[in-house]
Amino acid sequence: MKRLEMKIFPYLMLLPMMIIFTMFLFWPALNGFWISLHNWDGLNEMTFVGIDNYTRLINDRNFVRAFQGTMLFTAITVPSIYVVSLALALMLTRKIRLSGLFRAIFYWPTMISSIIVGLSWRFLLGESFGLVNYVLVTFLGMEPVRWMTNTNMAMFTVIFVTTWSLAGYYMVMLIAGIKSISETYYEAAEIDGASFWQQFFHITLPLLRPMSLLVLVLSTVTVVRSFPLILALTGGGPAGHTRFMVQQIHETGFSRLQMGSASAMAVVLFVVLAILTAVQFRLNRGGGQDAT
Amino acid sequence: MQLSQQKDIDVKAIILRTILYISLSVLAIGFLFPIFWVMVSSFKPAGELFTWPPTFWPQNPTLDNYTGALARGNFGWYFRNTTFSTVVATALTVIINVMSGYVFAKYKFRFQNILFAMVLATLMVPLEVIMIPIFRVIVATGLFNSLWGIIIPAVASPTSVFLVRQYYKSIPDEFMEAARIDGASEFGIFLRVMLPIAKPVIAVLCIISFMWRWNDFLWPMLVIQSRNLFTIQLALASYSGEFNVDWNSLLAMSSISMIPVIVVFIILQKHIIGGVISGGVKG
Amino acid sequence: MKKRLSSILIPAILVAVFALSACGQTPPPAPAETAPAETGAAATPTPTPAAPDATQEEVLLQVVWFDDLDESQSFLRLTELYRQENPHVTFELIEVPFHDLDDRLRNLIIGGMPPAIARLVNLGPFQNQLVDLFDYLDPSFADNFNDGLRFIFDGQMLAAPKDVTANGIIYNRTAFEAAGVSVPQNEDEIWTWEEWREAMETVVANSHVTYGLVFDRTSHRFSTLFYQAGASMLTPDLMHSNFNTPEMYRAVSFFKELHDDGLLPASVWLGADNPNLLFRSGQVAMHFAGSWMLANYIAEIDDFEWGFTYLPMDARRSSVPGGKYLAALQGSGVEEEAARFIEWFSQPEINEIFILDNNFISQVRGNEALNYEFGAEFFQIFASDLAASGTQPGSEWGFQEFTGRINADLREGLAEVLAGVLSIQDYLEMLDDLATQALVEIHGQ
Repeated sequence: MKRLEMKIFPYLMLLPMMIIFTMFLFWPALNGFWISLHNWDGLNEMTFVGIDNYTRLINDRNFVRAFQGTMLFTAITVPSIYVVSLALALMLTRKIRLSGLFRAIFYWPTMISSIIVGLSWRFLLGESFGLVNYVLVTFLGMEPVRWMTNTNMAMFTVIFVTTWSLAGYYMVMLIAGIKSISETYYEAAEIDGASFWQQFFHITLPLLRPMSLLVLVLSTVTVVRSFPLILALTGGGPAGHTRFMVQQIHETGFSRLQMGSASAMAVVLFVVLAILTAVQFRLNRGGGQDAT
Repeated sequence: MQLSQQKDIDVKAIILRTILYISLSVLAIGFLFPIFWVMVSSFKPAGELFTWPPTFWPQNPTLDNYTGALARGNFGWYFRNTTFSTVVATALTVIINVMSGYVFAKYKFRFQNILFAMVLATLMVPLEVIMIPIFRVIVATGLFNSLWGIIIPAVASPTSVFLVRQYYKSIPDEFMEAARIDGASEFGIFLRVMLPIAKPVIAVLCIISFMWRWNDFLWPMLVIQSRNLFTIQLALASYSGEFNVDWNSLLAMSSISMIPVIVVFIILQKHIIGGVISGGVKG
Repeated sequence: MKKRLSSILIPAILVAVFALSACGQTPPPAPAETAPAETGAAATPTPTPAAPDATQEEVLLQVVWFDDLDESQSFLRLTELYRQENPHVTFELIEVPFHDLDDRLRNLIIGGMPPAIARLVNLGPFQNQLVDLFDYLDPSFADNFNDGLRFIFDGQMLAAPKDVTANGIIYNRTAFEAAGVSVPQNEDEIWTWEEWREAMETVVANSHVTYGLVFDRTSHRFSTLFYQAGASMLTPDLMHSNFNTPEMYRAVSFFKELHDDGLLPASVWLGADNPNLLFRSGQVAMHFAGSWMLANYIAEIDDFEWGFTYLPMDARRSSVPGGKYLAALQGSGVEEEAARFIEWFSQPEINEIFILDNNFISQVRGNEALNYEFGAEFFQIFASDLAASGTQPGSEWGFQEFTGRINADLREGLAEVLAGVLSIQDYLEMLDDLATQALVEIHGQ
């Protein structure tokens, strides 16, 4: 009986989740794959074209550029989110006053709609009439910074604002992770006279491995797919330098009405993300802990 | 000797503490500034919103943005709809995903890795492109234009499953084994032993799930049609037309809409505390 | 033993509860012609018709609608007026944000629940799903409208133009006066491009403004310039690409020069700055937008004076008409009632109410000159610009099957030209290729 129970129990626990995923995600996603093999405007008859949509992507200058841009953006943004959220989490798990308030403040940016994020950052970083440039030019006599129209600055701006808007979210997860590490390790280390950095590298970081994996995987997926925020910030400019894959997919599907191509791009995006995640799991040894 | 060393440590601790507070405060101001601007600007009259040189404080503060926005729709209903769907969805999200994350972390069963990979795979599908197939499912299941349509499809969340799994991974198996020896059923172990341990992660789950559902736009946009079922986010979206954006109403309503999420955060974050006393247990 | 069982049973029960709660909510899938159950208590409380005509059945017209400001208010008032004559008809407004309009409509059609009527900007994506109004209305209905927005495609009337907009220039009168520059007062004084540029330079030099002009970041707005230069996207028969011409080259290079000289802020076309907000800050001499800005600026500018002036000219004068349609959808089950309502709504006296409420321009014959409460002189300018435009802009932008395919590349490619990463010649050749390819796809061969 116990053996039967052990066998069936996990599946029963997973069942509600699996039913919902199957209906609302797996099935539509399979549909999306099917669409990628067709020419379709989203409304009228589909025509089957095989893998044409995929082969065409290789020569699609816009797609290739969006792909490269996305990779660069992700490669910088994910580590910066991790570092910032970990730093915040470390500070806010110490015994300090008002830690609740501080946590709330850092979490706050995650919950503003992208249109408002775009508006408020435009108020700050607007090139012609932004507050920061106003201060730089009027009071410091500097040249205005081209936050949105210089290729490199625009990339910096979207990375910066994305980090700002997501760090608090992952901070919460890391706080939970740090809190789950037993105090006894630190007490023992304290007695041995270990410095803060020694404790960090030999206790916190190794024991935080499961949560770190989580944060890295989730933030990679989120960053690769980030779209509304960048649209509100730079609109993909200057001249497409911050137009990343999801925006490209969206334009192809819903402005140019090429659902087949758009779905093919989405499949490519999916494969890329799957590979990135698999690599992260491998590097993180499945997210198991290994205290040293 | 003993005493002066003690003193050294104190001084060092005080300096460290001061640095900590200063850096936290600086960071906090930086993080909050854009949001603070949103709130302050929501009290500016239309003509003052975009001026040169940029002004921070309103010259003639007004509540017009709030009264104007409130007059344009039935915000009581939107608030009620949003609250209902958020609370129910959050509760269901916690139940379903804690169940799933727990077994992924603590059991060995066939297809485990494949199933988990499938869960993770759902993270990677850009929802934007499969809107049309999803819509077909929503219509077929009769969830169209019903609040359940924005609750049910989103309660299974790969992020949450993953979060719970990772949390349980860091909790030693000894608790379960002890309970098993006492003859507890598997579900009993989950309910009485493992669930209470997960309080911190449940708090995190509640916080993020509440935020997602409260701010969600994608599902309501897809599912809801009647104005009396609108959520706050749908109402906010209708302030943007082809040529015009009603920034004043948008700022005012966004400021109001943030309050419940931040209140929930402040209440729940207290529970993100050390859950396990696993002294001596090697992870 | 019992405990064993419970650990299997409880999750199973949970599953069952979920399955039920999902299905329990399920009203039987609504057949296409009836509205979903919940919608009966929709936003507008509809008084039950007192004594419906015995012969006529109750009809529900669902209208998919989006608001720019709040045109829905005057639309709803007009539907009440309609109900006085037709008490058997009730209306349900399905309000959608503009950005989700096409997606929502597509979903409703695919989901088998097309609404009766939709307020549309682009007919192109839906042309196979729209009702040919001639099926229900007299062919003379088409004569109710002037030239402007195109509404007849292959002999089918797919929609009725509801309100028209014209591209136009709003100028900061305070800044112009400070600089001692005057804008054209009548058709004889219309600026050439060179005079226009000179005006920008003078105002920037002699007043507090920083920039001469902000220009909406859309292909539609930019096209005004190339029509003025004498260029067009297609040949007059709309069968061949006409992108790669010296006139088009001139329009693009003029626009690039304005940017390079710093008369236009780069942040609009290269970033995502909102030209409306920049103009409102009072730091820009002119905003190249359109007639719809009137209502917005009445409400939201109060620290300087502003006005509209004539569009400049190069080889010729040109504006570009835009606007919104009312269209009926196939498969709603109430196509005829929908067509009847559209006919009623397009009568001059009804149309007039809607137009005046919202400061639009009318395409309905007889409503050419209405008594606008505010800015009547501006409406004369719009009308004069539109009249001087010829038919090419209207018929090209009315060919939405084509413009839908070319629109994004036209806009984004131009941004690349402005950023200096694409040469003008390469840009025109690229558009020429894309247009030729699009025409082949449309006409098939």
